[in-house]
Amino acid sequence: MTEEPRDLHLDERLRAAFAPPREAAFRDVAARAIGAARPRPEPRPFWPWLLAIAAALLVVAMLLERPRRGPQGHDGAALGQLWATAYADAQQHGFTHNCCEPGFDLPSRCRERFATALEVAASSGVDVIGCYCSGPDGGAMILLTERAGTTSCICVLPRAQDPGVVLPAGSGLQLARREVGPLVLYSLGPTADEVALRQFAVP
Amino acid sequence: MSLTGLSADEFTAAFARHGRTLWVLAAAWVGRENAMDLVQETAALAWQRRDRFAPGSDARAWLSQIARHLGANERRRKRPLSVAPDELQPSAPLPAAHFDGSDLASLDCGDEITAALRELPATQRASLLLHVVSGHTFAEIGAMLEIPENTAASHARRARLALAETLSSAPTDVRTP
Repeated sequence: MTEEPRDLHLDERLRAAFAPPREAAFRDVAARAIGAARPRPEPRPFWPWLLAIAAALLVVAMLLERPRRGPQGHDGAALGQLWATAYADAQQHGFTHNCCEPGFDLPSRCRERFATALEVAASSGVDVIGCYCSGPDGGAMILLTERAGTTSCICVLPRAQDPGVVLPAGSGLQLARREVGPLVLYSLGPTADEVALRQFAVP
Repeated sequence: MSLTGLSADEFTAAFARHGRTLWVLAAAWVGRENAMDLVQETAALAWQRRDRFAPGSDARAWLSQIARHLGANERRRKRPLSVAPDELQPSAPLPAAHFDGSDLASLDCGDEITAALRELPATQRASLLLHVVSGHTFAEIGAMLEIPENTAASHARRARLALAETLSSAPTDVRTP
């Protein structure tokens, strides 16, 4: 811009008219602004909530996935071992009435133990020899049965107390499973006799 | 200097460094009487928004933007239906008749030069005052006013010419010896 004398005079008048306050005044301005500012709320850390949710989910998952226990507290493997031993014992006794209760009445016996009657069709071809009573059964009702020349143990227990039975390795036995009403039946024998299981019903 | 994440002391020091420039800008915008109020409001808002400031950006320009917007809001609040002087195009002749000066009523009417400044658009006043009073270059002024450098220079030149014409045509006091 052209700096004529009148410009210089004008500039001087402008500087005089618009001279700003000293720097210290603006320090006070800044301090007042800071002091007047509302304190910012501390951001709530979200990780405690995350941990709590994760813990809750873990507990729920553990409760849902909690391994069930048999009627006497056995897990699936332990119950499988008991049953395999029972089968072997019954085999050793010839799968006869010697290891069973005499006068076994399946429907009434089941009603007494499980509050549910269980029966096998008369023409099913499944012969219920008796109820194994020579050794521990883990709280299940172990029926000695025979069908088409093959002996099996039909193990009955409440479905809610089914731990998911697994047989011990090398037992040489097969397992089949079927739910019948509030009960669950396992067939334990040389073959997984699902045919025999289908012959049982809740009346 | 970055304002982001600054401590209170650092913010105070930075604001103090640019405070005088802000005052001149505020005086050009809303008048000398209200300049400090506008500067105070700018400080408060800048402190609240310090996280929005991009590191390495021009702090003075950022503060100037806040001050101008606060000042413009205040003018619009007081005179919502009038055309703000700084909306005029730089190349257009000064339509002095379109100004009623009501937005500049806070300027000190008792001062001849400030009265003359009242006739000018705010952007022209600011360009002139920031150059003459604060000694800023037109590039710096352009950054503060968010206009091109050449436009800032043109504003200042037109403001000076208008002021000179107004002051030269003003009746002079005849002192009787």
